[in-house]
Amino acid sequence: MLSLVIVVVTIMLWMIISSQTEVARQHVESELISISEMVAANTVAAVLFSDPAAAKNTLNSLKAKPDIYKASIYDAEGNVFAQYGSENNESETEESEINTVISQHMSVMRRNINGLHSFIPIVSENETIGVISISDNMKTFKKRLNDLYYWVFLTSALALLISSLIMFWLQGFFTKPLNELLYTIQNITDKKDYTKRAPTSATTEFEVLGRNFNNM
Amino acid sequence: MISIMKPNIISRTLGLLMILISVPVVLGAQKVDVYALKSALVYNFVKFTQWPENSINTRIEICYFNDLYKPGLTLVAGKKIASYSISIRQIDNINDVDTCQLVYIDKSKRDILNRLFLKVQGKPILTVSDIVGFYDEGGMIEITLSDNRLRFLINLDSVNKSNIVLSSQMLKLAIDVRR
Repeated sequence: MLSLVIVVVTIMLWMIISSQTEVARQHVESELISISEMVAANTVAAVLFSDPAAAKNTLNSLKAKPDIYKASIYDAEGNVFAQYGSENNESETEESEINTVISQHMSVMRRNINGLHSFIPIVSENETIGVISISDNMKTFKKRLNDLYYWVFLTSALALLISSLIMFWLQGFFTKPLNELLYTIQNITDKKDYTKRAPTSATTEFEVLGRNFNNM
Repeated sequence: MISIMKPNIISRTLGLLMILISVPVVLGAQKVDVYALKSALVYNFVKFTQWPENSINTRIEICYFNDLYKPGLTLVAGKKIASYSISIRQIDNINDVDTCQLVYIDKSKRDILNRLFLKVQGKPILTVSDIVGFYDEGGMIEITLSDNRLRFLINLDSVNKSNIVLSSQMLKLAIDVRR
């Protein structure tokens, strides 16, 4: 019985955690895409007028999002135009994504051990004039996920404890009158004392059983 | 001694020749680049400008005076901005500006500047120039060289009087915006 409860609770846990993780991941991705598109739209003029200082000013607004640890704007040739945050140690690995965005005019998302990375084209009049790359370390996402794990496990443990207590109480509810009846039977068998009577019980079924036993 | 001197003289002569040949080429290239860059800048101004709807049909006409800007501006002719196509027209008379949405007047035409201002007054025609002091005198956008880069100054008062709207993104990039 207990193992069945554990199995059910585990399956429920797994389903809740996996669905919530996926929802949270999609939320982080869509938020990063929105931010990237917004920054891309706001840096069109800076890229067109070759003003890296203005582009950097726009990128600096990303400090409102502490999870974004790095952002770079590349020109249409893939050269770094403006940067924000930590030094670009991943420029070699980013090269292929940047080339894909420039040549295919499409957005690219990449996830690795450092977090989530978006590569969005900066477009002016249907022409890709640059690429914006933003990296999110997903610390908030991981913290939220840990909080979720904590509360789900805590709730599950409590549910397991309460269900076990109920189970033991229910078990006692049925086994106590049965054990008392068995004890009476054992006494009659051992001592041949036919004056012994089966005890009365709160449960109708055991009450009927005891009465019939006493009439026997 | 002679055998040592000879290569030295030859190399010096060759070096001098190289310098004499390369300097005009480099300067020439720079000049051509500046005109092309200014033309590209003019095209970018169009991207961030909004004219009153009744002042444009299907195309935005960029007018210019000087031949030197022809190659650069020809590159942008036919391009589309929103639903409007860009056309370029070389003019030599101030009376031809009426159908232009943007007039680029370069240094060589400084003498007709005041007449141009009178001609475009109150009309939705964006005036752009590389003449020093252009935006002080009532021009709308002045292209200037700052830190070896082409930048621009905006006279927003003149722009507003012409019912033209410039994007805030462009205003942010200007060295100075006169209001």
